[in-house]
Amino acid sequence: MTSETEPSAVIAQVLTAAEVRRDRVPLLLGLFDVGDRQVRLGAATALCVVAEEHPEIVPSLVGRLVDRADGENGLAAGLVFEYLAVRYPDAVESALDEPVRESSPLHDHDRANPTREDLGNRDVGRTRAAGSGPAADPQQVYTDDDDNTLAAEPGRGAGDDEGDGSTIRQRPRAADARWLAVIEAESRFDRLRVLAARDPRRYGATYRTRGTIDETDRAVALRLLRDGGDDLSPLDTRLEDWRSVADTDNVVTLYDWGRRPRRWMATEYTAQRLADRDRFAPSEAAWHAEQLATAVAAIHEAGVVHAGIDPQSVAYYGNVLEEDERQPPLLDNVGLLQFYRHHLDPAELLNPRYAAPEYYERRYGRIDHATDVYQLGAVCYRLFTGQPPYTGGFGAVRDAVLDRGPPVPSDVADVPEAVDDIVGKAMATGKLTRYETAAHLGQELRRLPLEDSDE
Amino acid sequence: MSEISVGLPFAPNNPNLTFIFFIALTLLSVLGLRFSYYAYRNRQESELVDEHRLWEALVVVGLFAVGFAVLGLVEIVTTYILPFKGAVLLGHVFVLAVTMRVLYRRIAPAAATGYERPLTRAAVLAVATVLVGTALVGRHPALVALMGSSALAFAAAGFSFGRRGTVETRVQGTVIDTLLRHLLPVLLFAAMVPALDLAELVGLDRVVILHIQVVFVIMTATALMTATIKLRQNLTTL
Repeated sequence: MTSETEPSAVIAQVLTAAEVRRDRVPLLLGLFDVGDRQVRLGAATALCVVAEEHPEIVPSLVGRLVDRADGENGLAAGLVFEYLAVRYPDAVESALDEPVRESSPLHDHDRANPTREDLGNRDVGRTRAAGSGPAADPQQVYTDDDDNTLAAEPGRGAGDDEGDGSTIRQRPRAADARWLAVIEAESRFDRLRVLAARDPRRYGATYRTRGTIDETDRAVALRLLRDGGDDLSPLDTRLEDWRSVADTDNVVTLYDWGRRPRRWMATEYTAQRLADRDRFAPSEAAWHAEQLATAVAAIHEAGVVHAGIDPQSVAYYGNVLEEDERQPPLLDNVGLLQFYRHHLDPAELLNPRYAAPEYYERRYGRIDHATDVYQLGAVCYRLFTGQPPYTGGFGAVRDAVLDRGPPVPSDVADVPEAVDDIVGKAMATGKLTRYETAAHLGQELRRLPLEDSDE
Repeated sequence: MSEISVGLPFAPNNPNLTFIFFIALTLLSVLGLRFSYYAYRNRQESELVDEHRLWEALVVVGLFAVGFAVLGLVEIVTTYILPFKGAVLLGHVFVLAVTMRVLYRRIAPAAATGYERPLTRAAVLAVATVLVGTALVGRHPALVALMGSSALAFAAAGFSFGRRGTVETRVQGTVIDTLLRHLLPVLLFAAMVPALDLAELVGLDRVVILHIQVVFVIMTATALMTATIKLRQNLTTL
């Protein structure tokens, strides 16, 4: 090693030179890997000096720092990153934002399965007609078999055990992790490690990560939320609401959220949705429905309205050891639709076949706790029958919701008449004839006379 | 300074009872007005045409209660005798019974049965007869009998619709169920006021009857208050 490339000489030269050369950057970055601690800290300082003299290198430098931030010697890279984030916030943010704007799916199965691609785009919770391709109107693409197609989706389900490296389908690209350092710095997590590549979901790209707080690891779903206008304080309110009920049983825990590099939130990780699952046995369906009704009643007691209950908003951990093990259903995306429906078409974020009449016409009243009751009833229908309550295109569904009245589960499945009454009352078109509270719905579900004769 | 004559016609020679009636009727007038106001707000806010009839009926229910209370208060604070105020309370009971039917029909839609329409006409005729009769000839025993028996009949009919509604599986736990349960006590308590006048015909002392009636007036007012809570809650959902 010549004196020209001697670590201490390189650092000293950058720190003392009258004219700092930008071509020293690769050399200094290299010192993060080869030097001892003093060298690494010196290289970090020198890099800050180079960035001060040549601010145009900040975006490229950010990318290279983030790549190193996850390594064993990431502390020095993190220090430089923090410095740059303070000195050049706009440049850092735009550099971090770049990968988020990418739209191409990264999972192998995303490329193979158009259904998953739909989930991240306009046809959330619905399936395009085979071979129809993207439709101009997202509300005209429903088929009769709906989300059952998701049940056969590869790579999801019980095998997705959190923490087992062998289950990670594909390591994330380095570019995907560029924003991670900012979120890590802003969040309550001491450390966040991305375990799987981006999964486009309803409210934004979701990364399966491992979050560490006080040496305790948690399975975390890190979500980069969709754009919702400039005024984000209403979203903060909704997230505060969610966090206020996050300790409730059967509600997905919201750990944290923030605004940089863009709006994000961290929740507990769930691998499955109700939409991914088949029909349940009646007693099993009643148990799931009752659990959900209890959770909805609890959030209502706390003054929180979910507003977007459908099979995509009911999550399962998906980490069972035995096939027949009971997994509790969890309410996900609590209250998010209350914010996003003012900025996006609700049909993008709520399956219209589960949407209450008040989503279709204002005359049916406000979106409130009664809306949750209706949509809970629609989910009950799905649990007992394995089918969505209405089928067909948007127009047909809309007409059926508003004019035909509640569907009858026993018309399509072998269920007791009491289930018809419960679903009928929950899905009543007018609020006057709907269950007044989710708690009452839960009580009647508990009283259902069920035997699993068909299982 | 001229003397002020108060309430002796209402509770003859009984200042204590007159004062209690004054409090009860004031309560009823205020709570009835509040009930009507929130029913009216629901009517205005609701864009569902088939709900309008319900809210309109409830507005009238409250206004009849206010009418009865105001006429009673006029009797107390003046020397006027207004015997037709009982007919106004009978109207209140009648409209409540109709409201019960409207609520029941929302759950079990069906054309009016063959006997419902003539009975409704008879009920309207009874209320009108009591109103005109008492205005012209005062508390004639025949009119008192008609008023009391009509009140009992209206209460029975309303109670029948209410009970049939509340035991319907399709109703239990719904907003209709709660409304029915809130309005049933109003109907029964309000009906007891004119019905108790029947006891006068069999010789019970009028002061004793008035003592019991004032209790039912207060209970009607408080039952209206709890029903108003439901109307307010419903208003927030519209």
